[in-house]
Amino acid sequence: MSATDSAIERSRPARRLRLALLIGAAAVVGALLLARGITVVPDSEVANTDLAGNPTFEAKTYVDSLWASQVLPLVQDKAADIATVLDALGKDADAAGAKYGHRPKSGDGPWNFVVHGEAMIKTAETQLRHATLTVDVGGHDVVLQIGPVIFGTALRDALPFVSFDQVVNQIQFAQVSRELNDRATAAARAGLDVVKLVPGSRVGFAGAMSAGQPPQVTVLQLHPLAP
Amino acid sequence: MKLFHLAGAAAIALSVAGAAPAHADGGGKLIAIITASLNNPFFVQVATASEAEAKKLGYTTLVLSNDDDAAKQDQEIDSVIARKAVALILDNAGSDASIAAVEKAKAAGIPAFLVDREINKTGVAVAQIVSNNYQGATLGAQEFVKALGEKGRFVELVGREADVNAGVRSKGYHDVLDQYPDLKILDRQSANWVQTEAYTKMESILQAHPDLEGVIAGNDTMALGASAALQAAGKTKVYVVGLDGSNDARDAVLAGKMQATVLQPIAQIATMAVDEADQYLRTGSTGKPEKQLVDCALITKDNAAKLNNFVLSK
Repeated sequence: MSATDSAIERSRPARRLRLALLIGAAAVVGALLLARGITVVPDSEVANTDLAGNPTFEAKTYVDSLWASQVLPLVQDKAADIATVLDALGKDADAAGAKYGHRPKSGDGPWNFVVHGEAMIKTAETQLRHATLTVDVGGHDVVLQIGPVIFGTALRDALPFVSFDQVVNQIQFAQVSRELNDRATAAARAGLDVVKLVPGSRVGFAGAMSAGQPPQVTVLQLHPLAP
Repeated sequence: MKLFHLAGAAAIALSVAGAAPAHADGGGKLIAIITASLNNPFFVQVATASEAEAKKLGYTTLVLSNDDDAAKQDQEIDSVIARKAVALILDNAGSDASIAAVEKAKAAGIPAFLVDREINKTGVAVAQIVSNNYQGATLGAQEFVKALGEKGRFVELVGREADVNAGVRSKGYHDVLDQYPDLKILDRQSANWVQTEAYTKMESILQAHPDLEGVIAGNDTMALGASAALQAAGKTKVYVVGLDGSNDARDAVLAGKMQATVLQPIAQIATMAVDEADQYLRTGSTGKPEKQLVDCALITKDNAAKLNNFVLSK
């Protein structure tokens, strides 16, 4: 047997071993995919890619996965009374935040709160793109943002199940906020006649508030109250 | 491995020291601070604020400037290693070009704490603390829209296209501005962050669009250049918005030559980086995620007087 032959002889089992390893690895990967519940998506539904070929982040899909299952229940079940929160903020902002609010760990921004309340409209700027109602909550001026343009990220930052770690960069994190704000506005304005929102009338509302001066609420639910 | 040794040594030192105060226990060890070009007050503040905090905590400091030059930065990392610094505070010279430099420091057992600019890799630096450029840009754009009454014709000056922050800020601007159908963009040009370039660009833009009502710029130096060109042309009613929060922009806001700027709290960021370095050296952990965003603040006539050297007093 020549040196070459023996090399081939040795390589055959090696090749078989490699093949076996490959099949084994493929099986493991397949099992992992199944175990982690990863869905195979047809090409037509694959997300768009950016210039570098990386899949672009689909904020809409992400928010779709949260809106009905987590965001709405949070507002429905966990919203704090806005007057109570404002009083607590006046005494000790951090204590109020810890008790009623949420603040993203990756940042140092203001506390954010999921709130509900009823209040009288003091001024209404309903014809602007950034439409607002300034209402009186127990002597505090609060700005209700009713869209279509919403300033700030109060809604995103009030959600304990959304964090910067879940996305790649600040642009994507911003897209999540924008998508959440758009949905909040759509929900708040559904069936609403904004012309009726005039100073002196009363509204009931729910949404997310950031503890600024004045406090601003990204409104998710809004309805006029009987005088 | 060396990192673990370092952390272990710090932990032992801490336990031996026992009741030593939590602060001022730097024991004269060296913290290296590398900032970008010292021609810009913003980068000077990176050095000044981190040096002050390091000294307060009992460390000695070595302050260097990379002049936005990755090759120079690389040599500086070598001397930081040779000087046996215990930590590195870095405003880096390029998000890709600096990865190797930070890796080299890490391999030499020097933990890096990045400020202001990110690198395009995680797990190399211990911390990357940057201002939330996107959030800051949206604040500036919101004020711009308010000043214009939600309608009007405007021009955008963009920073150096190769710099990530130029794109992030422009995106922040447009995510707000594009929601207003009555706002019309007349022109969008890069002035590379540079004041003189913004001045000449603005002069020629004015020839084509003498009716413009607003200029939104990716940083303060470009906003100041545009503002100067507008003043020279007698266009004193044009709203100009910048971003950074420099003292020059503050003065322009107070004088009514700029509508607003947005403060990047770089002094706070630099201080945070040193505090986290100190905590890391003492305990082996900063207790924070690697990537940290610090919110920017809107500066208008109402609060500009409280702004000095990138710090907004309460």
